[in-house]
Amino acid sequence: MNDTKSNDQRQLLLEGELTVNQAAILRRKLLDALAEGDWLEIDLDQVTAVDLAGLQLLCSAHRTAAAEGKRLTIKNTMVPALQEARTVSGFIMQQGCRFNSGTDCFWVGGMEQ
Amino acid sequence: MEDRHIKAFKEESYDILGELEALLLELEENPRDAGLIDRVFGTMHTIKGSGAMFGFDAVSEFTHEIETVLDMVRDGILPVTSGLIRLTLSARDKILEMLDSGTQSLDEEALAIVAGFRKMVEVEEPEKKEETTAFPSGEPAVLNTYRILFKPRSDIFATGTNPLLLLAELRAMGESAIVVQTDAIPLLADYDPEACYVSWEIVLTTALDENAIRDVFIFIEDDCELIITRIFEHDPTMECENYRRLGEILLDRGELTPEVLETFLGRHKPLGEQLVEAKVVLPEKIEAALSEQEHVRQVLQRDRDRKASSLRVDAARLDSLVDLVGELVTVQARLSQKAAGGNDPELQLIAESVERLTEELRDNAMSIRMVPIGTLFSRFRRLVHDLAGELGKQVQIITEGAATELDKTVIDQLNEPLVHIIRNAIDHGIEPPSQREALGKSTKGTIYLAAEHAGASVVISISDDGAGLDPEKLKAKAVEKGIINQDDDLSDEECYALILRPGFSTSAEVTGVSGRGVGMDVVKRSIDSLRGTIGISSRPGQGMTVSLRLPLTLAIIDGLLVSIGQGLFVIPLSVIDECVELSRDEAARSRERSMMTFRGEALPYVSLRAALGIEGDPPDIEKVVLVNAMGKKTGFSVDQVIGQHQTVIKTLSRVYGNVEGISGATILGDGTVALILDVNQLVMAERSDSQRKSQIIGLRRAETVS
Amino acid sequence: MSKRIMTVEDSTSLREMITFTLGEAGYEVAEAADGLDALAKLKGFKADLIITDLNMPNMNGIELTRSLRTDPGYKFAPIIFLTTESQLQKKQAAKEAGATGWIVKPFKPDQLLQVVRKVLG
Repeated sequence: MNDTKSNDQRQLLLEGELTVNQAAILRRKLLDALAEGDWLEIDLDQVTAVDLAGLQLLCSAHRTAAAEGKRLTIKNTMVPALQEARTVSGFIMQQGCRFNSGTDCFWVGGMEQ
Repeated sequence: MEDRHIKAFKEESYDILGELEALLLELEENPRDAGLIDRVFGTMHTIKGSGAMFGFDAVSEFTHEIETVLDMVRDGILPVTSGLIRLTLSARDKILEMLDSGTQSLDEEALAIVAGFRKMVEVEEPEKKEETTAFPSGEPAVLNTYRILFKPRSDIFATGTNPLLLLAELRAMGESAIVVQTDAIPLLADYDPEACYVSWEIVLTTALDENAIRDVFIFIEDDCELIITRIFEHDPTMECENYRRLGEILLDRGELTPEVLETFLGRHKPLGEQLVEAKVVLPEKIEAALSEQEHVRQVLQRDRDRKASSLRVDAARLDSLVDLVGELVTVQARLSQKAAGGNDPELQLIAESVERLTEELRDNAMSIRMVPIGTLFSRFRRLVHDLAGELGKQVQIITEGAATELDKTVIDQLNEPLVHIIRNAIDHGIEPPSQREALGKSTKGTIYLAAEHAGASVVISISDDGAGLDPEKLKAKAVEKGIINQDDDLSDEECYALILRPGFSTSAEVTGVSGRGVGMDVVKRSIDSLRGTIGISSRPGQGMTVSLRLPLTLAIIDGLLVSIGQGLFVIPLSVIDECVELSRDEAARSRERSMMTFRGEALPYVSLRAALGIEGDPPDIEKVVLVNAMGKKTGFSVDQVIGQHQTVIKTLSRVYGNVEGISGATILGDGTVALILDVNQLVMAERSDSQRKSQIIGLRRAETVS
Repeated sequence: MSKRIMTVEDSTSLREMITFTLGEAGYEVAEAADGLDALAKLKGFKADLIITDLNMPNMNGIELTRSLRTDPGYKFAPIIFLTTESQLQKKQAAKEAGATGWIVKPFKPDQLLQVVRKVLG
C-alpha cells in the first residue's frame, strides 16, 4: 500500500460538510489537488454531511480527472453521510455515465472498492 | 343463513376492522391523504353492506351514521381532526363488540357515538334513511404508477430549497425508483459551485393522484421543470400482463425514434448496451428506463402474489393436523427402532422412506402454522396511541421485522405479555414531555419493537428511550420488600431481573395503566410457559430493552434425554451449557452444600433426584448438566445422559398440569414416556429454598445471640 | 440536536403562537419583532430556518430575505414567509428576493408544522 502511495498517489482528506455552503472552497481544493499529480485519493472518513451539491462536486472531479487522463479514487466510501445522501438522491447506478462508464463510476453498486 | 357463512363474514369483518384501525392511525399522521380517507370510507362501506346482508342490522345502521360523516370528509366538507379519528376509533371498537354479541339494537354507548358523529356535522340528520346497498363496493385503493421528470432550475439552491427533501417526500408517497441524471455536470473548471446541474427520472407507484404529486413541488413550480405522466393503472381484478420491453419504454419516453430502434433490433447484444456504445442514448437514460421496467415488474409481481389463491382454514383443524403429525413422528421412531434392531433390509428401506416423508410432513405442517408477527405488532400502535394520550405523554412506536414468522400458538400467547411490557415502558419508562425536554431529549418518546430470527428461536425486543432502570434503586426496593437480603451481592443484570419477581413495583405511585406492580412477574410466567427466556438491559437515563427469546414452535423441541433411576427426562437443549461428571465424594459434598465447584466457580447445585422426589441411591459417578436459566448457571445432577432427542411435546392432562418442574411429556420410539423438565421453575424453586434456608440460619444465629 | 428556527413577526400574539407550536414540536425557537431585529439576532443564533412576516416596521420581510441571501451563513438557508391570499404580488416579490416557500394566513398549527417539515426535512 505504502509503495503505491509514495509513487504518485496524493491523498486529500475532506472534513466536515460536503454541502452547498462549502461548495466553492471544495471546488478549489479539488482543482488544486488534481493538478498536483496523476492519482488523487479523496478520503471521506471525516465527512459529516453530504448534500446534492457535494455529490455533484464528486462527480465533476471524477470527470475532470478522466478528461485529463488521471485517476481519482475515493477512500472510506461507506461513511453514513455519503450513503444517506446517495440513497435519497438516487445516485445509485448500474451503468455509470458517458465520462466514467461501468464500474469506474463512483455510484455503481454499493461503492465498496 | 348458515352458520359458516356468518362465521366467514365475522372473520372477514375482524380483518377489515384491523385494517381500519391501522388506516385511522395512519390518517392521524397524514390527515390530508385523500387515498387514506377513501380507504377508511371503503372499509366502513363494506361493513355496512355486508352487515345488512348477514343479518347484523344494528351494525349496519350504526355504520351508516359514521359513513355519512366520512362521506363529507371525503368530499372535503369536513376536515380530518384528531376528534374525528378518536370517535371513529371508538366506533370501530363498538362495531367489533356488536359483531361479537350479535346484538340487534344500539346500546347507550353506541347511541352516544352516533350523537358524537351527528354533532360533528351539526345538522340534524333527517328521518330519511338511505337504502342499504346489498352489494358492498369496498374496492381496494386504486394504485397508479407515474413517471416523473423533475429538473430544478440551476439556481434552485439560492432559494433555500433542498431538492433532496422533495425527493424524500415523493418517496414517502408510495413505492418509488429514483434515478439521477448527471450528464449536465461540467468539469471542475467550468463548475459553478452554487448551481444545480442534475435532474431526476422517477417512477412512483401510489394511491395518491397527480395533484398530490404536484403539491410536493408547490414552492418551486416556477423554478423547475416537472413532467408527470401516468404510465400504468393497476386494476387488481384484471389478469396481470407483462410490462413493456426496454425498447418500447425508450420509445415511449421519446429517447428513440422507431426507425432508429429498428436498426438495433434482432442483434445478440442487449439493446441497452448497443445504444450506449453507439452513443444513441445516454447511459443514464437507459438506467432510468431499466429502473422503470424493474419497478413496474415488481409491482406487478406483488399484485400476482397477492392474488395467489389462499385459503382460510379453521385453526383447530390445523392443530389437529399437527397433533396427528406428532403421533406419526412417534410411531415412525418406533418403526425405525424396530427396523434397525431386526435383520430385514427391506423393512429398513421402508423405515427410512417413512422417516424422510415424516420429516417433510412435519416441517410442512409446522410451516402452515407460522404467521408473521406483524399482525400482532399492528395492534400495539393503537395501544401506544391510547396509552400515551391517557398519560399525557408523546410516544411513537417503530416496528421492525414484522415479517418474522412464529407459530400461531406462540403469537396468540404473546399478546398479553407484550401489552404488559409496552404499558410498563410508556408508564414507567418514558418521561412526560416537559421532563424529556429538560433532559435534552426529543419530547416524543420512542418505543422500538423488533423481531428477528436467531437459530431455532425468535428474539423479540421492546426498547424505549425513557428513564431506564436504576440498579441501586431496584435493589433497595427489593430489600425493603424482603425479596433479597441487604448483603446479597447482585450484578446490574441481576438487579434488573428483580422486576420480574412477584410483588415488585418500580413506580412510587400506583397508576391506572400499569397497576400495582403485578405486570412483570405475570410476563415472566407467560414467557416461561412458552419456554422462552427474558433478558433485560438498561442504560440509566437512556432507556431499557426487554428481549424475549422464544422457540419458533411449541410443538417440537430439541432436548437432551437423561435418566434418573427408572425415570426418563428431557431437558431443553436451548438452555444447556455442557455436561460434566462428579465423583461420589464430590457429589456428596455438593448435595450437602447445594453448591458445586466448576472451573473454580461456585455454582448452585440441584439434585434432580431429590427435587423430583425419586427414591433410590445415585450411581457412583454422577452426571451434572449445566444449564443457563434465570440469568445464572446451575448444575442439575442426573444418573445418566442418554443423548440428544427431538421431541414432540404432549401437554400434560390437567391433573398433572401443575406439577412443579415439569412442563410436558413426550413419547419415545419404544413407547415409553419421558417428562420434559421446566428448568426455570426448578431453578426458581431452588433459589427460594436456599433463601428460606439462609433465613432460617439467620434466625438460629439470632436465637443463640440473645 | 434539535433544529433552530427564527420567527420574525411584529404581531406578538401570532409570534407567540408560532413559537409555542414549534417549541412543542421539539424545535429550538428564537423570536424577532422585525427585519432589523432579526438580522441582529441571527448573528448570535445560527438558525436552520427563518419564518418571517412580510409587513413589518423598520425592515420588512422582503428586505430581510434579500439581505440574508447576501450573508454567506444564510445564503442557502430556507426562508418561509407568512402571507395572505390577497397579497399575490408580494408573494412574487418575496420569491424573487430568494424566499423558499410560504404559509397562507390564517393557518392552523398543523399547517405550520407541515411546511416546516417540508423545508427542514
